[in-house]
Amino acid sequence: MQEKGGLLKRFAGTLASMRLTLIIFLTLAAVSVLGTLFPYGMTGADVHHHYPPALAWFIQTFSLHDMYRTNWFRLLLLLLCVNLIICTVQRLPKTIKLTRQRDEEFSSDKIAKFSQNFQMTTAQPVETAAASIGKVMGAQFGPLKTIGGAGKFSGLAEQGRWSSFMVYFIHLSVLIILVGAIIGSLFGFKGIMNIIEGEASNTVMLSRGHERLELPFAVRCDAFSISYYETGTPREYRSDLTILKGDEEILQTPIRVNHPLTYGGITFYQSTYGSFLTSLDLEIRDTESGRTWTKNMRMRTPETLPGTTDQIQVMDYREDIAQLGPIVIMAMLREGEEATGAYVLVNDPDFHGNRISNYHFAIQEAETARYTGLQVKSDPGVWVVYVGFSALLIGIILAYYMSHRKIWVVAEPSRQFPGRTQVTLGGRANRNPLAFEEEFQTICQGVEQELRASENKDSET
Amino acid sequence: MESSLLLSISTFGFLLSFVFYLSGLVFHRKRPLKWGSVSAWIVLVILTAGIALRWIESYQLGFGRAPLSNLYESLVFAAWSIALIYLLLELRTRYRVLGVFPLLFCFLAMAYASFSGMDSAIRPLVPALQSNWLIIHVVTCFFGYAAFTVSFGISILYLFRAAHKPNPHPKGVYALLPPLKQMDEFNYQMIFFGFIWLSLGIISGAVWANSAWGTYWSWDPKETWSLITWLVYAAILHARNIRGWRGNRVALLSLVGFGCVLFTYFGVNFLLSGLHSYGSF
Repeated sequence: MQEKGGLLKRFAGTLASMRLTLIIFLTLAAVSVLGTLFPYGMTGADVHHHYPPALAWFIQTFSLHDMYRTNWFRLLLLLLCVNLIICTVQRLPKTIKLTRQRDEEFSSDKIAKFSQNFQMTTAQPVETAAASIGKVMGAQFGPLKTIGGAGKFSGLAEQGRWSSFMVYFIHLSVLIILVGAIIGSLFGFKGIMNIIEGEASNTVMLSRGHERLELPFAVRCDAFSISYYETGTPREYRSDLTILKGDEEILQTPIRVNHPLTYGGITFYQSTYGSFLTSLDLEIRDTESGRTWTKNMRMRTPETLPGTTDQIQVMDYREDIAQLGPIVIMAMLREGEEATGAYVLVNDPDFHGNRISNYHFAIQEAETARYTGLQVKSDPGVWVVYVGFSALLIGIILAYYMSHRKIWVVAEPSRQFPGRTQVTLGGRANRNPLAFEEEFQTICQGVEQELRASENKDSET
Repeated sequence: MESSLLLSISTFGFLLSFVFYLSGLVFHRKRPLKWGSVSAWIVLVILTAGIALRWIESYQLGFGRAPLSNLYESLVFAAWSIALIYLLLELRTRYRVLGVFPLLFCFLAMAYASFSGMDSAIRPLVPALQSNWLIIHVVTCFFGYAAFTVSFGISILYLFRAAHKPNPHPKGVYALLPPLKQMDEFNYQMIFFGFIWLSLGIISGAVWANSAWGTYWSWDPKETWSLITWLVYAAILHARNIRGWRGNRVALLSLVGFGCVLFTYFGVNFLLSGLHSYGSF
């Protein structure tokens, strides 16, 4: 039983160790390097096509082509969170204790050895000197507390006590970001909508799992347009959208790249565009018998050629492939044979490649409709992530500029020059010693001026 | 006056300034260091004017846009950021000798932009880049890169100096270098400073991506590599603050971090494909 407790304790100790944090950081960095080597979003078939078998097996076993969605990658992130939380739970009480610590009193000999130190003597008696120093410190740094003194004055002023807590604030913000990401992946969705100009749709094709989602409203694309610079490069992609509830037009607005539309918690982004084939007038010539047919074809609707059992079908339409202009992908199914296909050029009816087996295809007219491709997203976690982002930035910036600075002051009768008062200042900062050095020196100059000035006043009177 | 002329002057100005800094270090003389510093300030002013002029020229061409949108312009801006951040550090520390490597990188960035035959014409922005986030995102990222470049320079000098610590020749090459402890402190300051800017850069990129594409993080290679860089520098900060790493180990890790910066900037563009293809031509 005792041994088990020991083991658990050691396990907890490991989880809370800084070494583990560093290991997780560097492991995350290393596996991310691996992840970027293999294009993200490849399918298993792509992997086997692109890489030698042994490497393909390795990639597939560890899902390196889709690493960021694997459970082992998520486990690594979870481990980081656990480590973060346990570190906080272990260290926070210590930090609280440290900031509540009683103020230590040091001798002037000790203070004079601090990384920042200053010493001078003055004709002012101890109490007046202490008051002058307190005045300068109060104006330039912070209130000077008396922390001791029997026959001497011993004081302490400090700034930025709370900076020790900044690190917890930063860690909390990292957790908030991860929580936001989890909310987004649990309750949000992402997908695409292709809407033909003039038509409306309420169906989103989700990017995960080939599912469809019906929106409670419809989106109509009134127009899609592209404008160009004089040089010919695209200047703007624009879709004029209308939100419809039943027959009622709720909202009418254009969207452009970088300027999406949000309605009902769902955001629509201009993503792509393209053309659909709506109807095709096709002339088919049998090169063996010389017979010809003309047919009006619809997308993915098979037609049987009269007098034969051969079926032809339009499989796909592409705007531009390899600068050959628009093409139609045709397929033919003949009994007892595997389906065969060909690219048929729309603008060149006599092109010799416009054929499958003994049939030559010439396109007489292709009617197309333009569609706009919208990225559709709903992410209820994004505001949580943004809160985390802001907190992280504020935390890091404050941690950089704030430091816990303490200045000790001792004023006591001088041993070297009887009748004079020796003043000693010593300072410490937990961060940014350069800035503290400047601050400390300014304060010391102020103290020196103040003491000299009051000495002169005394000698005048 | 054309912006390209000012940029060419800056390229040679940075070379001159680097030579001054280098001779100051090698011959341990303070005067060339002063010349290096003065010339670097002058070049910074000229380069600022050059970048501003390029911005104005884009308006004259009929499509005003910030000069921050392709590899050429980003290299020029990188040189500008390195010079600015180094010179600010120099003002604060009053050690001029640390300028050798930053000025070398200023020159290399400008030379690469000017002499490698890359496209330096002012072209209009593609729709994806037409956003106010462009300026915020690029400026923050490059300030981060620049601070890490300065940290890289300090780290190299630190490692050289530390290797010769047992017998520091009183008039040797290292005579003008700051004490090791102080160099370590400067290095830490630069790393932390760069870390702030890189965080700003990554976050501004995420917010922009969310407003343009609807995803704040998509594991695009550039994003992933910037996160890798961020993790390496976060590891340095943690190792130093909690485990008390100092000196050599921090300097060595800073070299690793700088390697990540270079890969994030160049490697991703040339070797991996992704959303940030604007930067590769």
